[in-house]
Amino acid sequence: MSKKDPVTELRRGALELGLLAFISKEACFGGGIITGLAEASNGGLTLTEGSLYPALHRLEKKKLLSSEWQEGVNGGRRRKYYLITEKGSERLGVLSAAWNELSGGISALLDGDDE
Amino acid sequence: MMAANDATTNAAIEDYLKKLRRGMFGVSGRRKRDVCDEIGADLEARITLSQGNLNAVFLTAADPIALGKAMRAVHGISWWLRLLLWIPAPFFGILSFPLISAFVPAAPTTLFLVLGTLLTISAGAVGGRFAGLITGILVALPRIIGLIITVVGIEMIQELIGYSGWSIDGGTAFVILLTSILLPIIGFLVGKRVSL
Repeated sequence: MSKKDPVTELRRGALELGLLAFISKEACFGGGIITGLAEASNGGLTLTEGSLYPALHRLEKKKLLSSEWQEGVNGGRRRKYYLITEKGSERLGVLSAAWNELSGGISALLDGDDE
Repeated sequence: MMAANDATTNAAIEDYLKKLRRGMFGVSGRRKRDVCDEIGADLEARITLSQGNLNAVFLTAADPIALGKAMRAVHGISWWLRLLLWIPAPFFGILSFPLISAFVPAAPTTLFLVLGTLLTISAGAVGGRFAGLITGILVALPRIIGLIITVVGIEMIQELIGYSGWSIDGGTAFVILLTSILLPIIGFLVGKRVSL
């Protein structure tokens, strides 16, 4: 079993929160989520398909996200759009509160180290 | 500029999806189609955005086989494949029980134990830790039940008629028990390694 990079682990933990937060603003398809999330997070959350699709499907399986197919543009392939569910919104609230508390605490700790 | 529905673009997307399907071996057909439709449409959108630059898109795209395996870890294998793995498992367990040779002298019990182990490893490798664990249990359970019935049966026969031509020594019983306990553990560990 490979030893995991701690930064990767930290990013993975933030992924669920990032995806729920992004999709809660508007329904989006996979490719749009990759570019949209990178832009919205100022490059802080850059995803590859390798981590995005399994994460989206896992969240859908947990019923935190739902999806719907929409016809493609100009005769292109139909696209799968993800939407947040009620359960997902509740989870987002819980995770956001925990994140704010945690990041505030860690920031204070790191700022304290600088002084 | 290359249009997104161009034949070259479609061929490149289909080639990627073919590898993705290979990575999702064992996943149900309906699920595979959904995943391929979704990822195919997203690739098409990216190609359109990059003005038909296929190299730029496919060089940065995820390895399709690895992505397929990651999707299989999320969705698991189909029921037909589970049944295909689970149905022969108890038969391998029964036929690998050493005392079966009392009834069928030519039974290659070691071969069936090896087959049972291979089946367990395959189930873990394809279906993940729970498929591996359950297959291992299905092979192991008839062996353990067979051991209990044999030990109790021999005791009873000896008590009733004072003699039994059959016997099972402690060493054989220990080997049967140990290999039976190891099978589900092997299946689980193989599956855990794969799904991670």
